[in-house]
Amino acid sequence: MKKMMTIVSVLLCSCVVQAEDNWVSLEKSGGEALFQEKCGMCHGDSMGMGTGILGRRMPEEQALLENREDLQAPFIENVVRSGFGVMFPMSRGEVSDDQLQSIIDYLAVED
Amino acid sequence: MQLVLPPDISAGAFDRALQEFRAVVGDEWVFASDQDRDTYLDHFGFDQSAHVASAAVAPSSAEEVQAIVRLANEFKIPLWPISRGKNFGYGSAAPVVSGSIILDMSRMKKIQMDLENGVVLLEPGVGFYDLFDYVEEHNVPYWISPIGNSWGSVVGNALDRGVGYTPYGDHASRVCGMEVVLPDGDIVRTGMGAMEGSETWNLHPYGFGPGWQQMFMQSNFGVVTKAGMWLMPKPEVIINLDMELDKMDDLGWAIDTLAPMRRSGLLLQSPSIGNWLRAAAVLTSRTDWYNGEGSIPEDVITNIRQAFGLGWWSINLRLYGYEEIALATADKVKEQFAARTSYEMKQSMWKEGQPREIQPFAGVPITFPMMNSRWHGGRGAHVGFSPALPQSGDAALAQFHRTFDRYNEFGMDYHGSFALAERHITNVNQVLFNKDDPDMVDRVDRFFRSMVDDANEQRYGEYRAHIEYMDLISDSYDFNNHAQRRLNEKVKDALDPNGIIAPGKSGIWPAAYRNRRA
Repeated sequence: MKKMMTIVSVLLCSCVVQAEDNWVSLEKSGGEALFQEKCGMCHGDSMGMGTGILGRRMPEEQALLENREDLQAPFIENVVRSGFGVMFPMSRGEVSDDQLQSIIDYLAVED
Repeated sequence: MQLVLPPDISAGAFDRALQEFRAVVGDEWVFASDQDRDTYLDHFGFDQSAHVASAAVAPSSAEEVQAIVRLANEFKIPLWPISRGKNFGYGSAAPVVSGSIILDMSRMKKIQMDLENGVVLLEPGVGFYDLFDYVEEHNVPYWISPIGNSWGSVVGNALDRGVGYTPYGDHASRVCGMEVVLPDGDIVRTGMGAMEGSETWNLHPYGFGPGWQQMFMQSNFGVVTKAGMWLMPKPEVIINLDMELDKMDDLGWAIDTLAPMRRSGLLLQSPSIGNWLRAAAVLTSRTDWYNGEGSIPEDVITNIRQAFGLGWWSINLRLYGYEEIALATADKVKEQFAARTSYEMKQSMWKEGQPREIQPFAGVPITFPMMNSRWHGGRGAHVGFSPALPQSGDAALAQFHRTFDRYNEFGMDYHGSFALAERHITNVNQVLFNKDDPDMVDRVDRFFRSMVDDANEQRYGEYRAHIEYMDLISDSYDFNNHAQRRLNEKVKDALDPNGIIAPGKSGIWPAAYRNRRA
């Protein structure tokens, strides 16, 4: 389901914003696009370190975070801000609190 | 991490400075909690507490960078500029001087694309994945040149003279035109950018008069807020030529075979000859093979090589461009090798329209090679040691044996490669360790210093250094009683009398901090 949402939302959301003087901001918006921008390099399906490491200790499909149905919001927040194993913590400069909340809203299971 | 104040700054002055920074960037873009400080530590560092930021400020524009720099002068607080802070193995986001405030340019993620000329003008926050996505989404006829672990900033990597795998892999050489905020808050554009409104800022590399671009690489003379980068035209084909070398000492003749091909331009990318651990450490952990003390013994190495079909060394060559030319080049390369060896050279080809390999040599960013940080278990890490050697098989072989003996002396597993540039070799050692093992951390520090001493004896200098070792490496550049360092520090004092931009970076210490040199 999340995969389908990915395709639709990438088509719908304005992932790049045309700015003045031909400058284009590559900052994205929306939980799904932000997950891809901030987390996808490790946790996507394209030779990411996080997917690779998780894949050593759980079934392959579960190693992709977007397939998981057990990620709780506080856990995600803690892992992002404090790190986990070889994953480095991410600063608020890299992922703002608002952006992190959008990612959590996209990724976490509902209470 | 608890607060470590900037040197000689009171808590009151620090708080006032943060208030002034907030007025520039907004409350939400100044970070000063214990957790915030943790996020800017060197997570691959031996001793994270040795390099601790006091806070971070995240501007969104060059104008905000200027305002922050002016305030830092007013308060005499040192700034440590980062692009995205992903300089893993060299200090990540952490400053040399504890108490520095991180000038975090992650938010500065704008791009201008000159489609006709294949040039992008980038802010420092643009990462390799950002640029890749942009190029692919817009289907432009150019490829990016990613690095092996592609989290980082395109501009930041080039400024630290990082390298990639395509013919555009010497990233520093592909920078054309910079915008720089100077330590007094002034702003300058290099080369043709010095001419207001010039269309050739990112096309002509020099402009008129002295060229200042190199001055802002690996330095602390300013804060680069924009840089032009040339992109590689999309090739019609890539030809892969791969060879496994069975014996350690095959390295020598292999270097001597490749070097003339680099000099002549037959090979346009920088081929790398790497050892068996490069693949094994990504795909497996040490305990999958061996649980003993000391370096992995030769019989276990043989088992690993057999399991993965690896030589002691692997050569991976890539040819780019038009099919007819690349095929003819491949024949010439194979002919040169056939004159030296009977080892098989495997050839394969990617053609435009086929799915690309997810590999940096195909212009696609990846992060999975950093899985090697788990080789020893625990929270893994690595530190980079990469001296430049002359392009000679004898020199490379001697360097290999010296270094290999040191790995064995300190009980570490050899993890090295030799990358051929046009006229030199860079001997990259990515020293893997478990930072949760105090004994190993202690050994790695002594091991690293011994390798620096050995290289120094041969007069081989490292091209890039971890923040902990910048003074050590700087000290080895000693012609005429360290004349280059004296020049650097004359320039530093002239441009930055308060020493507020990255004191200690590359062993360059401003007068106010010079007594901190290690």
